[in-house]
Amino acid sequence: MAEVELRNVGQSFRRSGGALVEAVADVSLVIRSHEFVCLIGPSGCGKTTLLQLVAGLTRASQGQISVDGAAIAGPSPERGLVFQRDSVFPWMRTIDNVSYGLKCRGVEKTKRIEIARQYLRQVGLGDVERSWPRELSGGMLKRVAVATVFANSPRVLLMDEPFAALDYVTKLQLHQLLLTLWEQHRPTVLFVTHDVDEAMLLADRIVVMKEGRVVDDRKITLARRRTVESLALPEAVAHKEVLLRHLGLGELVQDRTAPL
Amino acid sequence: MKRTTAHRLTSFGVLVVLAALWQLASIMMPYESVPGEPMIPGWQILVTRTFLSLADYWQGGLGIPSVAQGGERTYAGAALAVLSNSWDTSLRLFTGLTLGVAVGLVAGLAVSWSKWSRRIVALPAQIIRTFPMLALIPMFQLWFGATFLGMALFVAFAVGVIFFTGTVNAVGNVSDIHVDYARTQGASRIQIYRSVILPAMFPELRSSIMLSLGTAWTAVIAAEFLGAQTGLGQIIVFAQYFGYVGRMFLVALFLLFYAAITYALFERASRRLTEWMPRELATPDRYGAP
Repeated sequence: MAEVELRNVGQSFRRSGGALVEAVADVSLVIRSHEFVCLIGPSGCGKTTLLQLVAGLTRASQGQISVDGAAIAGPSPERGLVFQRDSVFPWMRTIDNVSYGLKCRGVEKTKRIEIARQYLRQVGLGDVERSWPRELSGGMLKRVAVATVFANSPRVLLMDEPFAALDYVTKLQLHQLLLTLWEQHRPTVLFVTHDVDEAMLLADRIVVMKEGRVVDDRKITLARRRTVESLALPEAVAHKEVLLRHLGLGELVQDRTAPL
Repeated sequence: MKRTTAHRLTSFGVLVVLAALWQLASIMMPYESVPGEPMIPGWQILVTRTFLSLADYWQGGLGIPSVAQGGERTYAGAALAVLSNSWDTSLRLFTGLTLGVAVGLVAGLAVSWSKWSRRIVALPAQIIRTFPMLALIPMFQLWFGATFLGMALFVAFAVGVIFFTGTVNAVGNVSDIHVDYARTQGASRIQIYRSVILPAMFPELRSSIMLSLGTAWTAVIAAEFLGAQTGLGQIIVFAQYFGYVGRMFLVALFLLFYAAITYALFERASRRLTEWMPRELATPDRYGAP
């Protein structure tokens, strides 16, 4: 699979008032092949900007981003992206949405429909392949987006707070679905979230950003799949406390003197 | 009762009321534009004497001689006059409409290709859109004469301007997220235009199409006012010279009927293209907006 490397990456833009804003500043990061990395931080810290830079949707002002040593030059189906907002094309039926990327790449119709069906079945939407997106719930639409991105067999999977708008139960179901697909296909994942519990459940590594910079990078060595019990282990709790402090929620954490 | 049936019954009721009001006005105001020609002719006159008088515009053939050749005014001659003049007007209209839509759409898409070209044409497009179209008719006549081409090109110009600005606006309003989603899936620019921009812009473009249909009818009749030898616009102009209010009103009713048919046909044709939309958005409101 793919190793993603960011070297001294920076991204700045001018606000309408003319002020220069550094959304991402001097970020260097290596995400190893098959690794599941969660990028966490308060709103406006540059997480989504960084993800868009890796997706190739925006060009970095400084530094270089490469996948397996090759500098990225724009978006590619090798770096699939699941957006926070609904991105599923409302004018295409479910199956056409899932097979869209394959069609763009010239995969023959029978083959692409077969692949799309397979992924729709995997995400539990085998019976709605002819439905319009307007007929699906928010959770189902996210499943379509996940099926679509996996149908393209990405080497890198980028996810921008994909489940942020979902209800608690649907969110937990989708976490399990994502982990199942990730375990099967093992893409390298960069998952943006502001939810500490979500990051603890999913990540091999949690990278914390603040004001455009990486301020913490911690390995989560808890055994997979994580459960309510494993997430209550002292190691998990300790990670969570530090992460909450990073997010400015120190008042939720008991005062400890022993640093991690 | 189904909502659509109730809606149709209401519309029909409104039409009946309007027709009754016209009849009432004809009784209350029995003035004449010229001797023997009522200013507000009642329905009993419109469907008999007035309709029969349209036979004057039949140029002969199919075994029915023209009035100018000494033939009688007949209902068959009147019907043929309406059909042949409607055909001529429709041909000019649909040629111009097709040309205007095609050129406006292609030019709009081409301009929307880049942010810079959109910025460059934004101001000229706004200026052209606000220009009074009817003021251009004499110029088109000088350029092309009172010919089929001149009239069709005038319609094309009027429709093209609306369609061009409508397309540029509609493309500008396509959600970035869908374009980005397509890009991350490996879609080329052409593929994005075909599978994202065109379907995404269609709901917004639909109001431009409705507006274009109305404009096309106005433009073709206006173009026929000056120098056309056939067509419904030419009948109205001649009727106006001689104060034949009844003929003008009757032709206006035919135009209303044709315009309603074109709207209905477009609605039917576009239904399939908006099948994906939530029902409440897919049904245009009474002003034609999606």
